Amino acid sequence: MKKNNHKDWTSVLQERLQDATLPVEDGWAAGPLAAGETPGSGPAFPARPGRGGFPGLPVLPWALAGVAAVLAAVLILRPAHPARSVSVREGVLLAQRVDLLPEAIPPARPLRSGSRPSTPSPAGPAYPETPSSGDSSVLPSSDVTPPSSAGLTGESPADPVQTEVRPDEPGNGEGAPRSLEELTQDDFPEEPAAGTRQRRPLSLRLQVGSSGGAGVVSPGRMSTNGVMYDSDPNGNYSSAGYLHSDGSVISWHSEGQDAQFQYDPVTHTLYQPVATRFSETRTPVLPVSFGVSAALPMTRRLTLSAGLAYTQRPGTGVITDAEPGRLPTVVTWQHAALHYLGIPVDLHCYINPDNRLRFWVGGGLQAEKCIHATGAEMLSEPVLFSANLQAGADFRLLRGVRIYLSPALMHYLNRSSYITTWDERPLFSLRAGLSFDLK
Amino acid sequence: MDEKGLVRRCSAGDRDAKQEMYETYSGRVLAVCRRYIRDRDRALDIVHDTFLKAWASLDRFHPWRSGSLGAWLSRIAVHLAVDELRRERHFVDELPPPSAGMAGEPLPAEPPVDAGRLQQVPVEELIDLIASLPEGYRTVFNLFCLDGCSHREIAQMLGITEKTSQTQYLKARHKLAAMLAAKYGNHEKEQP
Repeated sequence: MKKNNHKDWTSVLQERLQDATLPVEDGWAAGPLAAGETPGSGPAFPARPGRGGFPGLPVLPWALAGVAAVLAAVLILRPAHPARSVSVREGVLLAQRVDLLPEAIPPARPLRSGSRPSTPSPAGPAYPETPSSGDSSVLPSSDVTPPSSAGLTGESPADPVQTEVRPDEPGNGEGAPRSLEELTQDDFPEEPAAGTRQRRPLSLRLQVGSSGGAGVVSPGRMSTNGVMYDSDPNGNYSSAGYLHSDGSVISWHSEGQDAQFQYDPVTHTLYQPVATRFSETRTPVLPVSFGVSAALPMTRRLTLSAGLAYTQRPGTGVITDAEPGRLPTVVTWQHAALHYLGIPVDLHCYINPDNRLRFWVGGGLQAEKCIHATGAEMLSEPVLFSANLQAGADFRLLRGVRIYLSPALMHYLNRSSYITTWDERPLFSLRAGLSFDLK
Repeated sequence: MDEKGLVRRCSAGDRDAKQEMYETYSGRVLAVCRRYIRDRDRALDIVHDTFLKAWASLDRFHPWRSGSLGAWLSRIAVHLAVDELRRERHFVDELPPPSAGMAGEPLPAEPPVDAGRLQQVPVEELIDLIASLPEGYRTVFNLFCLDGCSHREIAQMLGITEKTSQTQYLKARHKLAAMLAAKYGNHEKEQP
């Protein structure tokens, strides 16, 4: 009896003090917590040291915000009056209405072919008349400009516009002058007028890749059911393992006082060992991602894209707790696959935007939300944010169809609720896909 | 109200829920803090810090991982208290050199403590006794014996060696046993 009392007094102390309470006379009302020092509404997601953090907002507002941002960008950046080419009929009407000032017209170039003499009249217009034109005017395509161009002022419907015909100009026939009615759309260049932007096609991208990077986790094999035995009366633990941040087990002690725990410096929380009885099986896993996005050309070089991306990340460990209130408790390690739906927003800057093989650099942000967990409990995980830096190239296969490849470095800005390694460090990511121009 | 509902309401910024959580668990958190911090006012400060920290981190609370809400709050309190002690370096100065302790001078036999008598002692008195230990002893004893940390973990937290932690624990245990034996006696010893 005496021996038992001697042996167990610390156990009695543990039992007595485990859930002990002391009266807090000051209470809530007198404490500083009630005086407005409480944090603001909503959870403030604690950032890891050296990292930024984001509030754990639900995914829907962010999704709506992303869609709204893209729509706003479309509305703002889209030309209010898209540049358009002058149609044949408009060109005819225009040509019939304009009056070219003589001094604004460049001197006629010498004819390279044909026998028509060029006899400019000092008092007349600085372009030759075409004898056979009658009351129809013949315009070289290079001289037809929209009304906003300099040199076209006033109107003189009674004074038909005539000019020389340059057989070698594109759009003209072999030396045969054509009337206005005979001109085609090709005779009017599609150069945008000053002050307007050319419409660029919205493109649709279908993408496959590994957007989560080559995270390496160590699912291991448990030789037991993952149970870490309860402590002995002295607080020692019979078995424990420790999972390092890179997924490797850095210590394993079958008994004694060497159990280690994950320590969260932000919440000052000791987490239970995340694994027991590991074998050193390290399984590289590649998250797989599929996505579709719409890319909006903002300028000749800049393209903004946004879309949806589905990512599956395998090999994630999850611990469970069967004995609340003590530290540590029962832990298990499970294989899991986490399914994420994300909204990527990327900005690309093309280095050589007019080539068939184009190169770009860029960056982007992505918000992801775990929508399903296979082999693991579904946790109330915050929206995960990641930033990435990209470089890439695309190649035009067909008209309006391009294939692209883009390596990227990505970094998660906040932390998953699951025990993972892919959110720990900058990750390499590789994406490839097809891009279709939408007319 | 269940813990999940309370946590959810607190996460949404419900002031009443925060008050409810505080009033439900502040006594338990204070008991933890008082084991580490002798001064009651300082311990109350730690209690407040614990709740502020907890409310800012509620999305990190998962019952399956963190245990009960009370246990989670207690762990936060433990680490804040240890941080406080470490910041003020109260216990480090009291720690003996690593050579002392088990390897050097063997400790005398631990005074016998009547576990049955301990069941009758009010919790406040037990906490006061633990709090009266020197801070170095107290911290290691609390962490190892009552809060389930290993010596390696304690060594990392306090910046000492595992050996020092083990020595401190044994000495603290010996001293506390002597105090308990002196104050509450030993039934078997007292019986003729």
